[in-house]
Amino acid sequence: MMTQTKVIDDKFLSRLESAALYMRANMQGWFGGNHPTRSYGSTVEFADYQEYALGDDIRRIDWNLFSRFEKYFIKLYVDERQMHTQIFLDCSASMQKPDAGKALYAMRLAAALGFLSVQNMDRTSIRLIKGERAEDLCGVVTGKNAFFRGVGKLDSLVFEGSSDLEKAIVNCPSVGTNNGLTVLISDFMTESNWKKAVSYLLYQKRQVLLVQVLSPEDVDPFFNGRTRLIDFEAQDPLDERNIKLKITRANLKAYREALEDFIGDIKHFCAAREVDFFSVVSDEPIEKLLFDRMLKIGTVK
Amino acid sequence: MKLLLPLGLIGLVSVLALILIYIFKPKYQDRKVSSTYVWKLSLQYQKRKVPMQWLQNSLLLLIQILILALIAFTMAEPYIVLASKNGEKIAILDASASMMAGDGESRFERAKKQIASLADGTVDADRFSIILAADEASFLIRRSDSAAYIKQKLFEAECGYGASDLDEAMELAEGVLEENPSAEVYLFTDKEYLDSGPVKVVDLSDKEWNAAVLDFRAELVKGKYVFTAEIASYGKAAEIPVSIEIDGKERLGRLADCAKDGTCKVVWDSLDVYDYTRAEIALSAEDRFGYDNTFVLFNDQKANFRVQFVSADTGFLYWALSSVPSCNVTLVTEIDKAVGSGFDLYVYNSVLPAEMPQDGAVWFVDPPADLASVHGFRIGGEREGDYVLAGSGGTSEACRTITRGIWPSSITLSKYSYLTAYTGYESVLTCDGSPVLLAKNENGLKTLILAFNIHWSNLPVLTDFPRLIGNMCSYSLSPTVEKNAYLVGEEIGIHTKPNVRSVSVKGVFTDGGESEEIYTSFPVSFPSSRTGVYTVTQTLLSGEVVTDYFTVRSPQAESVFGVVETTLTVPIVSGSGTDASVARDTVDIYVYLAAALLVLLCIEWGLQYREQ
Repeated sequence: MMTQTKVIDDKFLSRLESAALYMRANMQGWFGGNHPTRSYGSTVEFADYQEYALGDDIRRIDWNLFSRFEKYFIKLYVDERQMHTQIFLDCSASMQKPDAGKALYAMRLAAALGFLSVQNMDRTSIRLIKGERAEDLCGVVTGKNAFFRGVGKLDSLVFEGSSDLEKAIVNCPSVGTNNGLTVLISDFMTESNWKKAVSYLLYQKRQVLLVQVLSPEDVDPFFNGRTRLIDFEAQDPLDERNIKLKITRANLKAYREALEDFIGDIKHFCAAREVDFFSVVSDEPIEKLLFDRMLKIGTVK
Repeated sequence: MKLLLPLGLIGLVSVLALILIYIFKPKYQDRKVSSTYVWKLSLQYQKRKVPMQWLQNSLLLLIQILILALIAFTMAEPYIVLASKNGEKIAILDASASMMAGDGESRFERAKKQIASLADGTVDADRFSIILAADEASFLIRRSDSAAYIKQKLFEAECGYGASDLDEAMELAEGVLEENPSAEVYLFTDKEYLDSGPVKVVDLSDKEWNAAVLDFRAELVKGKYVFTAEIASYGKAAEIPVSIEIDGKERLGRLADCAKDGTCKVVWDSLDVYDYTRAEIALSAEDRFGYDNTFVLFNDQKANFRVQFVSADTGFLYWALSSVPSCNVTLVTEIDKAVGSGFDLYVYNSVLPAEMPQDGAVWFVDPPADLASVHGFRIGGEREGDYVLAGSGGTSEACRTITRGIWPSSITLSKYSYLTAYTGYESVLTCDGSPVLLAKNENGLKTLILAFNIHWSNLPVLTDFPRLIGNMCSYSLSPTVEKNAYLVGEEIGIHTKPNVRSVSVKGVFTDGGESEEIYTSFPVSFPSSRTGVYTVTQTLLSGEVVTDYFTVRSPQAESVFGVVETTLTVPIVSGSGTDASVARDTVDIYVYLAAALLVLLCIEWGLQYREQ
């Protein structure tokens, strides 16, 4: 099937064919899939031994052990279930301005992670965080065809207004349980308490992945002189988010230090909760994130 | 620190302008960013890490204000009034001629040593000024703290031959006192003052004896010259031999018997001198001031202008000219025998020469119509009647000189020649509206036209006649020097003859030296700075050489020793105003101001660069 959108195309997808998302912890699920769970199932992959009890299938008795211990032990096998990958995409104005590179990067990343999921026969859903709500983009999709139909809607996605990550996620009716991975893509430059949202997801026993997408201008601003910085999410010129500054080298140095500490704080928060975190700049190739950084820590294998 | 030009501080208005520029500077540039979240965090960082951020933000403005303030301050011409520690001193050194008196070492030299000694004890902790009071006062040193420099300048200082202008010296001292009112003023002089006020007078006179010729003159008595000298002896009574030499020939001397600090007259009335050019007397005295022991006198009554009077016969004019003391008139009755050079004045009465003389003044009296055009004028004819002369009303030198003391309306004419063209001539007297006495000065060659015959006027019977002739001579015959004796400091104007090639002024000084100045551009003005006998030699284009003499003497007061003055003009410290005519030693402050300005400009440049 030919897929040609501004977000995702065949050339890009072809590079994702060989990769898949990896679930680090044992999970639970309703349907069979490719991800091992903590319960025992009927796959061919040996998991453990258990002393025979009445009612057990005698075909699973290991006779070799019986000859050694003169006791009956049965073999237990790994159970593999289908994973539910839920992707939250921050659709605030700060993600699209001042250039579209940041938003495009975020959409491509969401699409890529979603594709990795459906390719591995997992279920995928993409939710767009707009204001205090997390809108469902295309429902829960399991096949590529359904996925491509859903992803095509990203082309017309508009990033506007501000978003409240905390309320959007906490109030989301189906954040899932211990059955998959939740990805949160945002620049995290918000007053909203997104940490509370992450804690909530962890409470729901979700594996969580945070991806911070920054623009080159966010990382290395090149302003100087007397400047009024207008926040894209500001409603009017008198919004308190707009600030006046006489930007000097000292200001720029302080900004870089603040940004470094800001990212460091997110890292520290995530490390303490075994949450994967990546901070990327939108001018970096997305492949570097997927096949290098995520591969190294095992998010993708 | 004080300001020489406080109005320069008006420049501080520019600081206000700068602040206004900052206030009304273009608005903040709007820049849209994805989020100001991190920027707000960075503000907290800055507040925490840079406590003096406000200063850093305003540093550029502060530096620019400093620069403008510094420029305004420099425009106000600041100077530092140096505080006195041991006591700043101002030494006024009397450089009058009498300071050269002394036995071996003159008063002036002794004064220089004492000043050097005074400076040694002063400059280690304070400043020292020296004012040289010659015929004009000037700073030798102004507020210096370098003993070596002071001594070098003292060594170069020379005594004058004239009087000293102590009043001007005190005015200069006032300029220093305004900067440091506690400075002490010393006057090194040879006079004693009963009341010198705050000025400390150091009297360098040592009761020296001075025999002086105060005056020497010659009077014509019954056709013979009687010479009279006024001799003085200061410091002691003395019998002083006086020798006299007339025109190089020594005559019988006299003995001047002078009382202490008194004068006596010595008269030579039996020398049978009918004429002389130069007379000189000299004292044979071992006194301590030799500059007034001789007196040279040149005869200023001696006829020294040669006049060629060309006329068919003598008349009133000839006799009037002959009576002018300085004129030596040669009568030439035939025009063919008249010469065109070698005279100071050529008078043509009722005749005209074929060529104009080039080395003297010319009078054309009652000129005939023919040949008139050759000399630049044209005669229309003669008019008869009863006429009264009138002045032309001109204010030129010719009009002023010729008509001085003359009443033109008293002069009547019965006939005159009227001129139809007289280009370059200036009308002095007119008759019935037509000029009858005209003058022209063409590069020093002076020409007068008297367009009537003396016999046709009532001039010969008027007292104005010899006066008019005298005035015409004064205009036409300028002596080389106005007088034969000058005082030191006088500016001597040398009137050169027409067609002079060069003028040499050679001086033989009283103390034995000689000098010679050659002038080739005219007029010549000669400053009389040293006493002696001077010879002015004019070399004319024709090769003829004309020589004149004059003497330069010190003022008579310089010969008077042991004078006790009652009061001394003392410097007044007004507390306001400054003497702008002198350069201040605090000019050095500009170097530091310029350096500070340069540093501030560099800092400002650096800040601008950093901001951009």
